[in-house]
Amino acid sequence: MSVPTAPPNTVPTDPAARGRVAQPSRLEAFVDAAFAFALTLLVISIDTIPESIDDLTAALKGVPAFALSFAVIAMFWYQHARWSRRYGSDRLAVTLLSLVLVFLVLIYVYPLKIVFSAAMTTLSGGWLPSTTRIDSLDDLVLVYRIYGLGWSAMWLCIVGLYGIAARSGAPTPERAADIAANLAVGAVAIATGLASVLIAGVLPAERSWVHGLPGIVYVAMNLAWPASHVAARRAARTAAA
Amino acid sequence: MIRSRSGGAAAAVRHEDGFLQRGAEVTRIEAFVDAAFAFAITLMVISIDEIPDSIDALKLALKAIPSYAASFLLIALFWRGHADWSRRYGLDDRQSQRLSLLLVFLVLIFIYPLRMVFDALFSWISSGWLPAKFSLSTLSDLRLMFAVFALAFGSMGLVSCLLYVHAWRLRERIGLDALERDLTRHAMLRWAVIPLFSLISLALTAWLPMIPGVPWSVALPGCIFFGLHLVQLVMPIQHRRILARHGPIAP
Repeated sequence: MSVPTAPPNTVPTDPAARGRVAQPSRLEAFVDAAFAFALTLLVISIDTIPESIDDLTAALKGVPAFALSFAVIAMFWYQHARWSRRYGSDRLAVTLLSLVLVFLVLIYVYPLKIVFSAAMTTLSGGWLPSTTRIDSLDDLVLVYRIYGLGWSAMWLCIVGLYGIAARSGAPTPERAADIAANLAVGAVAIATGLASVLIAGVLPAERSWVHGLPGIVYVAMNLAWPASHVAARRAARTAAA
Repeated sequence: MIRSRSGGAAAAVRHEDGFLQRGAEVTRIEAFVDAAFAFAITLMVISIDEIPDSIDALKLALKAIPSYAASFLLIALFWRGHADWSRRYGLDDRQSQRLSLLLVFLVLIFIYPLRMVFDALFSWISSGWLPAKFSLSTLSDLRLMFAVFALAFGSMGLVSCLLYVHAWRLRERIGLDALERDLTRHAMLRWAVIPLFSLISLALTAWLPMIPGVPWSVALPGCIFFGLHLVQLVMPIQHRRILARHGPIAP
């Protein structure tokens, strides 16, 4: 019995996949490596291998904060990978925006870890350790500001990439819908980050749950889904007309 | 979205392991996984501390090589597993990306615990000649160490297994032929053995110490993993049998 020849492989079914650069460019490989490196910087205990079982236990308690920071960085990587699969090019503006994204993510790594480990400490009533002590309201406001500005700036890069895609290529309805949906998600994300920064600026001095409000505001990211659907439908209608 | 990266049947070449080449090009997620694994391996070295500043420090650093080699091999095993999987199926859909990211996440969590476990193992085997930076003083310390290793190894094995399960679910859309379907089932089993052994190890850990009066029996939850070597001897034989059953591989 001989080996049967395989049936032809499936042709890309996703219309948006067409027109992608076939192989990852040098730029994409660079972005991938930088994001991967950013993740390893987050690793539960960067400086030394745990030297005792207590160290190990403490290090493992850092896993929840690591998981959340990992998710955020992976999400930005995914946004970039998804964009470049659909609209990838090696234009100068694309290169610049991607490099700015890498620059921002490497700055953003440690604030991210601080925010999430502080949040985990608060939520667990102190059982999960925090890497950084946040003593005063000023410290807290600063952390929220850094986080919110970093978040908004990175989303601005993603929005910029979709903006470049919108101005090049044939405006088919599906392409217009995809770009509009992603621009809407980016707009919601940037607005959320900026809202958090603004709220952090007007927090009352006495300790209360209100101090968590700039963090809770990120729940507004849930609006991104309906917003992207509305934007996609509108854009498809305009492009078809 | 299922995207196959080979140029159709004409371009498909059969690899010596029986699979057609589907993932010749490197996708973004593969580049990402490669970079993360490479950094993970680097972290194990550089954090040994700094460049040795005396001959004694150098000797001490060299004695860490066995444990470094073992951790390196284990990480490389999972990287190779992911690379093989990518080449075989050429998948780049969301579920594949999610599972790949999960694998990276687990590697980055467990890189240090793995290193600790191997330090302890080699220190134990060599009766302390090879150094371990920490000491296991109580039974609960030992329990925790075994449990962490079993969780680390088992969860990475589980994710690798799930990658194959995912490919199996998409067998029609990928266009796997009869030989490749048999091999995919075989690969699923091969990876599923790792979480299975980890579960046995976890169960043994809960019952420590096993045999009162026999001191080495406390090492049993770790030693059980040597049984995997036996499985790894049997598996390639089965692989060759599947290949033989389907006849010679067409060039």
